[in-house]
Amino acid sequence: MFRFWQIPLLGVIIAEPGAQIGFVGPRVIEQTTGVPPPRDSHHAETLFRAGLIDLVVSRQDLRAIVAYLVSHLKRQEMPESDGKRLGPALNRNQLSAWQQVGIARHSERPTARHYIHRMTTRFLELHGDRWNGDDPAIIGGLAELDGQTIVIIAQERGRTPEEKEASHRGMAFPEGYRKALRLMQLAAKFELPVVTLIDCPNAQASYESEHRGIAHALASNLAKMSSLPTPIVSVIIGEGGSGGALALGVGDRVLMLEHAIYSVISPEGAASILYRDVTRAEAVAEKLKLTAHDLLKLGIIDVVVPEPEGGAHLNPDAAANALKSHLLAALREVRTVSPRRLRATRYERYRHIGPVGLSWREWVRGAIRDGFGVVAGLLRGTAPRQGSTQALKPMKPVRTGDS
Amino acid sequence: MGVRTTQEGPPESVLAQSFPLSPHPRQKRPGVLSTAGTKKKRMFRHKFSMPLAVKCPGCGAEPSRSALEEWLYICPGCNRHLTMPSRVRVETLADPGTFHEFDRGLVSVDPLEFVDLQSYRERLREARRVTGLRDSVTSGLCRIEGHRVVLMVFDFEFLGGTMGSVAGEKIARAFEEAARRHLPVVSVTASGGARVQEGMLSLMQMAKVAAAAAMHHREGLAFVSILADPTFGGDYR
Repeated sequence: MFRFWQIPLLGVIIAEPGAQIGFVGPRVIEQTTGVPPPRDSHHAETLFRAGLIDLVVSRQDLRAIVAYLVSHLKRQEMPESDGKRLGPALNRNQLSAWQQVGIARHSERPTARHYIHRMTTRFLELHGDRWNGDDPAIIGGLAELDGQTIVIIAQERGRTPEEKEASHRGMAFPEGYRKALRLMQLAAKFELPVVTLIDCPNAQASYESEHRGIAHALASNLAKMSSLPTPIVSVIIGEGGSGGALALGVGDRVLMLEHAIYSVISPEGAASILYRDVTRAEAVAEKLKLTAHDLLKLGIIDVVVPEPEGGAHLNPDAAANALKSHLLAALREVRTVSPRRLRATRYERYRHIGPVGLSWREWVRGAIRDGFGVVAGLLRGTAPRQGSTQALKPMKPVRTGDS
Repeated sequence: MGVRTTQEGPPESVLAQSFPLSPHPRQKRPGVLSTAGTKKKRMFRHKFSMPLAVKCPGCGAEPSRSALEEWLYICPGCNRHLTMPSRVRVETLADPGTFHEFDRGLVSVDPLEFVDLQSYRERLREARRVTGLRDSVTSGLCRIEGHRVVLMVFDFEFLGGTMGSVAGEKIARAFEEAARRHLPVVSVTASGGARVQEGMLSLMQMAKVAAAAAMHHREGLAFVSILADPTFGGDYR
């Protein structure tokens, strides 16, 4: 069973505005080192920006916030499953992959904050990774979804130019991912379900982000999410780009909005690698199989959430309502499962993605293909290659590092 | 509610819309700090030994203590959050009349017989006289908007809110009590750190309370830590 010493000491830290907080006070620093620290070095707001404090709350609000926290940070009764399942969305749109990319990147497309405010009530955002910063590209906190307390973590691109600038167009620094992990561990402590909303071109790729350990942050998110002892439902709401998206996307159920995209690399990136020509992105987009219905066929996602005709930006509220009912259905399914089973099934789920071939079988296939062109053509038509995993003898499961 | 001006909210505040505030539960007279009627008087016998006006370090205004109690110790001139006595802090957080104090009887024993400009015993006597408290930490059981919690509050007026053996013991006991009763812990810190007059004994209180906090955490219970001005020293947050 899950043991609490595996996760760091987790409390919620609130500071009062203007409070002086630190290890050694500024006066002592000045007298021992001879150098006065900057004037605001120990202010609550400075520490808030440095990601060390969840919230700065003025005294009037303190009581309400504390009451909210103590009433929501506890184990909740499991809701009863009524067995209602929502059917998959029909593939009714005839749009090309490139048109889907256009809709997913549409400047009017609702962002994570819109969905959070439309779907949940009493969202209390918690800040900071308790290490070195607070990234506005990933937001998260506690919220009530139809009466049940959830921890919601979302990638926020920003709507206005200023917001986009602040959140680096949704490309988060390691701080953002560490904050996400911290909140997931907070959720695990109280067995609250985690909902993640994914919408980013990719994680931040820059010298600073490498320097602060983006690869390590993403990798530890993947590892910790795979064994998190609480339900995780991930939703791709816009552009799911590569590792930056997957680092919030290792869920028990993965939902995807109809016109969202989820890809190993942006079509432009793929075109420039494969053809050294960005203008061929349109053709590459088709081949990458990045649309919701393609990914459903590949078994990467579980549910396609229908969007209003023409895309979520034409009717954002209807899109949020549709997503809410699908989220509730997904949560009903996963919340009744025990944490131990949940972890085991999650492990199995990701363990078995991706077909592999056996050398002798591939050799025989090659020979048949070479020798009997007509027969091989028939074989390829009736038995697509994805089927080959089923015949494989499962490998002995590898023990996960921290279970 | 006695607050006159609206404060600047926390950065990117959504609090105002999502968390409508309930009116502050304030009593006419103090009394929430104790359960037994006879002890109540003793606790607040020296309440008015404190200076009657407080000077705001931000703007130099000198509001009276009675006015400040109405304004939650927020300076009327510059909206600065001033140091709040633990009694008022408990009153403003806990539901009226629900606070039951733990370990009222614990007092420091001056283990090192420490003397600097003034002896430690002398300092303790003075601090007790001025604040009406027995040590810097007050801990107890209360309800906050109906939810039962274990609350502990530091008083900065008592030797700078420093943590000696008594404070450490009270906090550790409060965490243990909370774990035993399966309750969350809310702490309000305003502390200068370890109490120098108790030497290494006070440093070790950090280890003691950290261990108690970790034990409480392992029970899967919530801990909300409120850092007030000033909080220094490697405290247990």
